[in-house]
Amino acid sequence: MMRRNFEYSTVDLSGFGTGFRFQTVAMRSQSDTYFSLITSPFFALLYMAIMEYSGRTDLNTHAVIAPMLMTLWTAALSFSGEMISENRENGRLELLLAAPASFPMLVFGRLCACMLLSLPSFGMSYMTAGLVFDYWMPIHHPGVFVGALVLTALATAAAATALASAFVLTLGARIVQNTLSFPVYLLGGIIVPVSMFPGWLEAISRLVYLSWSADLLRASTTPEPVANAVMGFSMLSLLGLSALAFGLLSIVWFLRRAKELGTLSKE
Amino acid sequence: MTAIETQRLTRSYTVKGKPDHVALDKIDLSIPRGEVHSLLGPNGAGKTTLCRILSTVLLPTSGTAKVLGHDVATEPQQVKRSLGVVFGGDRGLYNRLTSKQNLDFWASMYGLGRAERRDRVGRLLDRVGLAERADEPVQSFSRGMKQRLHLARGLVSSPAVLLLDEPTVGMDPVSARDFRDLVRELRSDGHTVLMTTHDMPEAADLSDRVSFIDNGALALTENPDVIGEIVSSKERIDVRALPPELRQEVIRVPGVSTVTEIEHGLFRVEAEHKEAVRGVLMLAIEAGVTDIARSRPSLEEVYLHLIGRRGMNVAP
Repeated sequence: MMRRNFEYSTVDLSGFGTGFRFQTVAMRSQSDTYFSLITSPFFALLYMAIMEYSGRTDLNTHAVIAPMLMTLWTAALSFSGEMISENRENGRLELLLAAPASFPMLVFGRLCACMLLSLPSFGMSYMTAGLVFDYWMPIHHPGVFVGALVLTALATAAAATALASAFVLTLGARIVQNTLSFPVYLLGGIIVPVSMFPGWLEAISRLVYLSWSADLLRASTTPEPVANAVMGFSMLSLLGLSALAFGLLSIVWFLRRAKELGTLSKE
Repeated sequence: MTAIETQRLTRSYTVKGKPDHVALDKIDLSIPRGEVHSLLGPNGAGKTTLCRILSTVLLPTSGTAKVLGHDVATEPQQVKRSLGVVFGGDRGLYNRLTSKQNLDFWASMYGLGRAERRDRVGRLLDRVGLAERADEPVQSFSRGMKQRLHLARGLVSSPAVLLLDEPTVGMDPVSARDFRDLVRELRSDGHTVLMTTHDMPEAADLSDRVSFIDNGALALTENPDVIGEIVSSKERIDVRALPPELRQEVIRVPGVSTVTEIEHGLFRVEAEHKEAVRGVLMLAIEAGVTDIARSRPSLEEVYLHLIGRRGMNVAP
C-alpha cells in the first residue's frame, strides 16, 4: 500500500454537531434507547436495601449515585458497540465515510447526546431511594455535583468513542460489551470507594475516570467542604481528554486499516 | 476537464492460504465532465470495487484514481465534497426516521446550513415524488420508494460527480422511467454520472459511453450508438412472417449475405450495404409484408460477445 495522509487532519466540529443533533432526534423515535435506564431503579433498590438492612445508612449516597454511573457506563458500552456494527449491517458505514463530515467527531457527538440519559437515570435512582426508603439524598455542593456530572458524561462519551474504534475492525461487539461492564464498575469505585482498595489496586483504579467522578459526586452530598475538588476535576478532565484523543486517533487509524483491508462493508 | 480518471488502478485482496484475489487489474479510465458513463459487467467483475475506491472508502493497492483532479487516496476530503454516492439496494437509510429527517441528516453530513438544508430537502423530496410522505418513517416505505430516497440522498450536496451503483435494482417501471428522466436532467445541468447497471437498455438509453468490465479488467469503452459494430459491421433488418418463396428472392438480392430465422417466424437479413437493404424492403412491401424493423446489434449482444455466457457463475 502507498503511504498517504491522515484523512481527518483537523477537529471538525460540524461532525460533532451533526452527530449530537442526529442522536437527539433518533432517541425520540427509538424506545430501545431507554432500555439501559431500566436498571437504574432496580440497582438503587438493591443497594439501598443492603445499606438499610446492614445498618450502614451512612453509605446511602453510594447506593443512589452508583446506579446512575452504572447506567452511564452501560449505555456507553451499548451505544459505542451498536453504533458501528448497526451502521455496518445496514449498509450505512461506507456512506457515512464517503461524506465529508468527520466520522470520529460524528461518533463522539452521538455518544455525547446519548449521555443525556444520565439525567433521567439520576432522577430514577434518586426517586426510588426517596419513595421506597424515604431517603432524599441531600446535595450540599450543587456546583460540584453538576460539574462532576457534566464532566463524567463527557468523559464517558470520550471513553465510549475510544471503545467504538475497536468495533471498526471487529465485527462482533457483544463480547467486549459483556466483558467490560463489571471490571469497570469495580475499578471505577462506583459502589466501593477506591481508597478502600489495596494500594496497588487503588493506583490502577485512579486511571479510571469514574473513580474521580464517584468521589466528587459523593463528596458533593456531604456538608463538609469538598476535599481535593481541584485535583478531582483536573484528573477527570485529563482522563476524559486523553480518552477522547485516543478514541479519535484510533478511529482514524482503524478506518485507514479497514480501507486498506477492504473490511468496511459487510456483504 | 476530466471528472474521473484512473491510471493503472489495481486493487487486490489477500486471501489466507490462496493467491491474492485481484478485483481490479490496471484499469485506465477517463470520463470527461458532463458525461453519463455506464459500467457493465457480470457480478464480481469489479464494478462496485471501482465505485468504492472512487468514493474513498477503499484504498487502491496501486495506481491512481482522481475525481476532478483530486487523488482519492491523498486528497479524500476534496473528493468527498464533489462526489455524491448511491450504493445499490434499499439499505443505507435510517428506517425509524422519516424521509425528511434522513435527508436532513445527510445534508448536514455534507456541511449544509440549516436554511439550505430545509430548502434542499424539500425540493429533493418533491423531485423524487416523496413530498407527501416526508414525515413518515422510512420503514413504512416500499423498496422502490427507498430507492428514490437514496437517489435524493445522493443528490443532497448537489455534487458535480455522482456515483450510482445499480440504482434501479428493485424499482418499478414507472420509478425507473422517472429515474432515467432524472439522470437526463442531471446531464443537462452539467453533472457527471458514473453508473453501474445490469440493465442494458437503460445503459444504452442514458449513457454517452459505456465500459465493459470483466475479471477486474476493462474490456472496452465506447459510445453505445457505435458499439454494435464490434459484433457486426453489417446492415440488419428483421422481418416477421417472411414466406419461403420470398425468402429465396431476398437471398438473391445483390449484397444480402445471410437470412436467418432468429426466433419462430422472425427472420434477420444481414446485408453488406444500404442498397441491398433498400432492395429487400421493396421486395417485402410488394409482397405485402409490413412487419419490418431495422435493427442494430444491441448492447446485450455486445455484452455477450465480450463477456461470454457465464450464466449464474460469478468471476473467479
